[in-house]
Amino acid sequence: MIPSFERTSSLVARGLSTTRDELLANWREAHAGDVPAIIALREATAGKQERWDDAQYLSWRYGLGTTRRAYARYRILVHKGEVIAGIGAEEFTLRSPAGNIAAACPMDLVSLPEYRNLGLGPWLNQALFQQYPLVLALGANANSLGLVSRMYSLLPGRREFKFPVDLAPFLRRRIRNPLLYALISPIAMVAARTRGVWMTRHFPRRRQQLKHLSGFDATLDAALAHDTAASRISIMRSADYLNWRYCDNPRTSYRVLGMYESDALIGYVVYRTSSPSREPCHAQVADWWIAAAAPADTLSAFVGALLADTHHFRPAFVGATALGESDHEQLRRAGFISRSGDHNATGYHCEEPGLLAAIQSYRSWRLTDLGKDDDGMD
Amino acid sequence: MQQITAHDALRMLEEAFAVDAGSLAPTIARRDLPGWDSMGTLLLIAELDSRFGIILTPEQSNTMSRVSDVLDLLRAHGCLVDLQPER
Repeated sequence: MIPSFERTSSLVARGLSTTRDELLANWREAHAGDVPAIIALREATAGKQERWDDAQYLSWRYGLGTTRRAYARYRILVHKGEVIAGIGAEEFTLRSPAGNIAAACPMDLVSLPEYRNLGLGPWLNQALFQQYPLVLALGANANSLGLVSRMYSLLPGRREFKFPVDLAPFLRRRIRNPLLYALISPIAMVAARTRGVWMTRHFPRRRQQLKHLSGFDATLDAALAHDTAASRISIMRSADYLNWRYCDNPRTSYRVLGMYESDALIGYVVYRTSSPSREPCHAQVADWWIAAAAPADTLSAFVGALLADTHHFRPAFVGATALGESDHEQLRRAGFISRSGDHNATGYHCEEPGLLAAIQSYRSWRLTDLGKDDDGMD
Repeated sequence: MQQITAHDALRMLEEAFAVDAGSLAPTIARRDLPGWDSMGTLLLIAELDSRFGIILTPEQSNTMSRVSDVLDLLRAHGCLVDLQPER
C-alpha cells in the first residue's frame, strides 16, 4: 500500500529533519536564477552532459530564462538553501471521448545522491499528482521501472517496432545453424534490399505530394480539426506544440515529412537518426499521424521516403514505438516487426474518481514517443 | 511494542520490495533486489514507523546492503521474536 502524499511528506520531512509544512514551503517552481543550481544537481546525478548544452536544454524545455513559450515546467525542492531534488513535467492536453484532460508527463527527476534514501522519488511523483488531474508515465528506465509499475496504472501493449533494412543482425540472432544462415541470408538480404528500393520508388501515389517540412503550420491544425480518431485517448497535437517539441529541440535534430493531397495535409512523420557512436545505426520514428481517410499504405510511403533520405547513413533498421492496436496494425502492414520490452512500460495516475472511471471505460489509447524525453539519449 | 516473527518480517519486506511471496531470504543482497529502490525504501520507512515505531534514518538506510540488515534492525529494537527464519 503506497502511503498518501501527506504521509510521504511527513516521512520525507522527518528524514530531512524538518517539518512537513517547511518541506512543502520549500517545494516550488524553478525560475531562471535556479538554472546553475539545477545544472549542478543534474551533473551530480548523471555527470556532465557532453552532448548538449544543458542550460540551453533547460531554457528550451522549461522556459527558464527565456520568454519563449515552453510546454513544460520544472519544480525543485530546496533544503538549507540548496536545491536537492527536482522534477520536470511536460504539460499537454489528453484528448479522450470523455473530453479533454489536462495532463502532464514527468521527466528529468533528479535528487542529490546523499538524499536518495528518503523516498524522494515517490514523493516528487506524488507532488506532481497534486498538480495535474492526470499524470502519464511514458516509458521507464531501469531506475524508474519499479516506481512506475507501482505508482501508476500500467497500460499494457506499448510495443517497440522495427522495420529491418539490414537483415544480417536479425538473421544472426534467429538462425543459430551456420550452414542454414549461409544459405538463407543472401536471399533474405537481396529481398530486403529490393523491398527498400521498391518502397523508395513506388511511393507516393500520383495525387499525393510528399514534402520535407521545416515546421508545422496551419494545415496541420486544419487537418487535426477533422481527425476522427477522437474515439481514442491521445495527446492533443497542434502545430505550435509540435514545432516546440521537434523543430526547436536543441538536444537532437528531427526531420519532418508531410504528405499532402490537394494541398491538405493527410499525414506526417517525425524522425531522427541515431548518434554516430551508436551501433547499429538506425532511424527512429518519434511521432506520426495519418488521417483516417488517407490511403492504407501512407505509412509505407513515409518509410520509403525516410529510407531514401537516410540512404547515405545506411540504417540497419527503422524503429518506432506505439501503444494502440490500430497503430500496431498500421506498422505491421508497413513491414514493421514488433517486440516488447520493459523500457516501454507506460502508465497513468489519476485520483479524480469521475475522470478515472471515464478513462478506464475507454481502453483504446494512441501513444507514440510524443511526450517522451529521450531525445538524443541513445 | 509490536513484535514480528522473521517469517512475517520477510513477508513484509516481500511486499515492500515487490518480490514474489516466499522468494526473499536474509542473505539476499540489496543490489539483487530491483524493488529495493526509492519506492521500496519509502515503503520500508513507512512500515517500520507505523508498525514498530522505528525511525529509519537515511544514514541507517544507506548502510543496509542485505535483507538481514533489516532483520537486525528489528532485532535491535526488540521487535523480532525468533532469531532464524522458518525456512
